[in-house]
Amino acid sequence: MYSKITTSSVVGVDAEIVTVETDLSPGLPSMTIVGLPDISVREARERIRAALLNAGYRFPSKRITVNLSPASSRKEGTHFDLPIAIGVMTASGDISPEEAVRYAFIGELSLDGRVTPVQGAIALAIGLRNKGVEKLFLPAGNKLEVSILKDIEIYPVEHIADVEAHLSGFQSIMPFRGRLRKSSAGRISSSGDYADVAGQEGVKRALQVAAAAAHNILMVGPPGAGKTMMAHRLPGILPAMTYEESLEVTKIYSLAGQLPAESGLVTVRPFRSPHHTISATALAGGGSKPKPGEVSLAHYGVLFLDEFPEFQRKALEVLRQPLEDEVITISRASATVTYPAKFMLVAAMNPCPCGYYGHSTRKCICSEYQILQYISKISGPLADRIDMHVEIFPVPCEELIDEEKGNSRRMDSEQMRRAVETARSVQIDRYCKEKISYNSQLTSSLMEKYCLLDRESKQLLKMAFKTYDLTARSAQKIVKLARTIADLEELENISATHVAEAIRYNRFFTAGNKYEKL
Amino acid sequence: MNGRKQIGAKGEEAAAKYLTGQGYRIIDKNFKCRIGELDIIAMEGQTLVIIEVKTRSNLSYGLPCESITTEKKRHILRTLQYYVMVHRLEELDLRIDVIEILSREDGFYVHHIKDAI
Repeated sequence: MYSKITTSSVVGVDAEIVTVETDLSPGLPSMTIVGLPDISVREARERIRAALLNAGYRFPSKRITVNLSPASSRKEGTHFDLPIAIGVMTASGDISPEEAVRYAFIGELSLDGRVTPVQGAIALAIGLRNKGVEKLFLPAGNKLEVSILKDIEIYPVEHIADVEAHLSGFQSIMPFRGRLRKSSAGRISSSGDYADVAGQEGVKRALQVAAAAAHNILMVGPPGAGKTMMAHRLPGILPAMTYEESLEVTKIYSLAGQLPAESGLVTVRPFRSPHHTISATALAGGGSKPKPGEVSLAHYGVLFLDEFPEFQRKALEVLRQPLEDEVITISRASATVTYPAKFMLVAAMNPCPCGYYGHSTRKCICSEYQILQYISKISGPLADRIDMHVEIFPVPCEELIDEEKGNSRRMDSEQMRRAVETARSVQIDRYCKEKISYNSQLTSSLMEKYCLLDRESKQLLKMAFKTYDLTARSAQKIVKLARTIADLEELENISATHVAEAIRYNRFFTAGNKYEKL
Repeated sequence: MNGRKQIGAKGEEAAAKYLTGQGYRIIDKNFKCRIGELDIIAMEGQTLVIIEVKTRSNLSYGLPCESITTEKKRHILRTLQYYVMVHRLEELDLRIDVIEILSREDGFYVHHIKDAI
């Protein structure tokens, strides 16, 4: 009258094993679930009862006690339906316990006994796999998502009767093996090629430098200059994700319930561009039961914030922790969770509220005070964490209309990506003994080791220091950028030309020193 | 005995007859205590079944089983617990059924709802 079934439960982005213990004892028919279930788990009771009866099985009229062990951690999610149902069937003798114990189960039940897909299936499966579970029953709707895992056998089921038939040996299910789809197919995103961008070669170059080491970048320019257009094309020049990276991103999307039902591994780098009305919570993640926010959904990809100063101040300040630590920690009464948030920040903004400050032909109508207000939305500490500040000017009409002139030296995405890929592999090789992988993560002690400047570049840096009134931190940023630029050219040593280019990307932009310093 | 009680008693009689026909062994009828009353107590195999009988002579007040409120359910439950305690029946499986009876001139119509509460 007792049974034990294995399943798992999500804790943050990871999952721990949960044992479903079921006991049937004489008394008034009732079903109690203990072990800190939340409402979604407690409601399983009604679904299981209806599902078993409608599928033609009996629901024992006994006192049923279900314990989710370890009983001290909170359980949530509808994926407990199937393991509890199997637990009840095993305890009442409809399924042999020797068979059931060899598998783990996840799945939600509908009232007619069908097994429906659950959120976070991949995270649950990874948790089980890491604990040595080898066979897993899961909803057929989650099979593609989970089939990317190599060392766990998965048994997709449509209906609870399929599970019973398999366990009783009546009709076996073949373990599902998905074929890993080659990631290159989906890589060139539909957002377009850089070859479509007329002019703006300087900005394209800046974006290439940014992409080469995942530097954060801020683009400042008047409306219609092409900031958004260029940002959207950025994923096309980023290298493909590795298997581990894909797995991690897939896990986050699965947890957030944003994985399309029919897809497996996320192979395309995420490009998230939330609207500027987004709340701090939606950006960071949260809610009474923590869910990943935009910063985590942009993990290993690009977080594009258009109209940067229009975002709520609170929302912008939320970015500080992920920009510094590459994770975000959310604390709520129910739990404290840490989600990964290693993204490349691309921000775009106008130079002033009307948009035309410093424009060559149009006049800005903003007052000094308005402009100051506008820019001061971006706090010093935040601006400091953005490695590159780039100005964009509108493309002159000759370049736009006179095709020949424009076309002759346009860089296309393919070309740009090859350089980025080379630069990234140079960096990964160089930092193989360190904890970092890209130049943007360099700390000051590591910079002394890897970013040696020759006499000429030192002199140039000194000069810039004086002329532009640089801070120590911005000097560091320049050296980091110079390192990346040298890597793009596959050069071992940083030279003065690299430093000069880096200085160009680092004209200051904070409320303290407004445009005069630009 | 007034008319309403008579209808009830006749209904319970009909229910008992029906249950016996179904293979139930009636062990007690109209068990009363301070807490409440149990109409029929029977054994079906190894399961102790408590049956609440509701009789109606017409449907103008709705179906008989609709008149069993949460309050009534609680009374039955607590009386059952008392019954189990007094008779030391803790080791038995328990079940509460409802039997609806519609009393017509041409006889009784019986509807048995198992595991109703």
